[in-house]
Amino acid sequence: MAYRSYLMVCGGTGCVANQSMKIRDRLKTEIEKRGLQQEISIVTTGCNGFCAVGPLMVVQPEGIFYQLIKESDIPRIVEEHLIKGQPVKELLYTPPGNGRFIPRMVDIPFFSDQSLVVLRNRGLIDPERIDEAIGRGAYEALAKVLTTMKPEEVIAEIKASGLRGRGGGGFPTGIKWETCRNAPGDPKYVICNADEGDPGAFMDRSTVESDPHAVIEGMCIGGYAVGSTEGYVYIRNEYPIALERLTTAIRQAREKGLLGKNIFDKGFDFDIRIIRGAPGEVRPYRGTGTLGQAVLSEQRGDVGQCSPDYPEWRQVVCQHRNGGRHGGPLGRKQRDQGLLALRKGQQYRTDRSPNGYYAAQNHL
Amino acid sequence: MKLMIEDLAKIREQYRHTFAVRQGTGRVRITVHTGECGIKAGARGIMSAVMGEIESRRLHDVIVTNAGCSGQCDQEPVISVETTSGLTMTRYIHMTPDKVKRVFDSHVMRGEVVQNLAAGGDKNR
Repeated sequence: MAYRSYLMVCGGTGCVANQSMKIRDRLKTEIEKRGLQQEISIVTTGCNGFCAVGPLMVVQPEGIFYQLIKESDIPRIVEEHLIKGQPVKELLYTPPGNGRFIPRMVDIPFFSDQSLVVLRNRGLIDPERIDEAIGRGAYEALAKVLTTMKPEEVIAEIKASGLRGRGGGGFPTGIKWETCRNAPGDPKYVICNADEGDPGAFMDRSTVESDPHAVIEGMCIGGYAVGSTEGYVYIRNEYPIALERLTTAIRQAREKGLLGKNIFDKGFDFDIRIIRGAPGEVRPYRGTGTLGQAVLSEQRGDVGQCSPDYPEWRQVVCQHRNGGRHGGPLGRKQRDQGLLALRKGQQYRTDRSPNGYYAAQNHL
Repeated sequence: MKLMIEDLAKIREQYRHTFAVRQGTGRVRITVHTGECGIKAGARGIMSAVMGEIESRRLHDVIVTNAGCSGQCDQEPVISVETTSGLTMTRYIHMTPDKVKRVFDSHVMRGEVVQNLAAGGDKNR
């Protein structure tokens, strides 16, 4: 069925906390009441990043951006905009200190300055529907990797791209993967750090809430490159929505054979388990060492407690216990950036943006 | 149901129209005027006819939007057809579902404006 219009309702943590799901439900009721359900589709997306003005919604294809929506605004939006074609001015974005509203999302400075790479599906897809992610190209990079590239070639591509980690060290991803691949010992693990301990940071939350399949696909590619069949995502307990979305995404990926045994019938096995950070823990930034400890705890059957005994963990790794599931070297994965480099097959250059953010840009 | 590599492209194809609409990009953009006068003259039926054409012809690069009063209430229902590759926007007046079909056959599919349905011929943007 072809829809005339899509209402992209933000379902990120900030907006949900501000009752955006109630807004969405009210929209649904109103749309049905006015007989528009064949024409207009409501989509719950992931975080758009502009949490300060939530609950927010974008009406496509016009691209009209509505902010600070209340349930009582819905009948007016449906009547005046969706039926009669006149956006409701009072709910449009107004920049601070300047009275003139900006109707279209693409013209709002917060968004217009962005050049989306990792978050290219932000606000465009329902993250709980794997088909939509595939509709935007998810798992194409994995397909390309499994059919046309050897693990060493994948690592070479990542190295050539200049991709760097998003932790404070900015560690070159290609070198990390190569080191992991060459390290003696088996099995190897890919760990995704979604702990995001930096105060106030939420780019990881945003990514997982908006596009969990990007995370999954990136880990698969990483696993192929380093020679691992087991991935873990360590996600902090304070991100219930991200956790739920990732859980759903993993389940759907397994159902479609995109995780598990013999992916795409190419003889590659990979699966992912989630480790939740223990509730209410106060802790410093979690790095590879402590995450590794968490993985071991998980395997031993302990309940997600992560001890700060970093030196102990390093000792365990260095012991290279053969034949057991413990002691395998780790590859810490920069989840999604890698898959983008592979998907486009082009050089990526990491840059500092004016805001001091590390961003991977397409270097043509 | 296990997906094979060929299935990925098929799914992408199914979603082409969806993402064209969600991104507001399309070779052709049709605006249906649905102000008070438009609705009274039957604009809702015209909207359905336009969507019907898109569906039946399986078009993935045509997007539809609505707008308020066209300013010429005696010419309603009014639609505008804009091709993003060209520079013209054509306003079609006194629309009926049959005329919608003709506009699609000629203008949307072949880029030829239907002169006798247009308001005073082409208007360059």
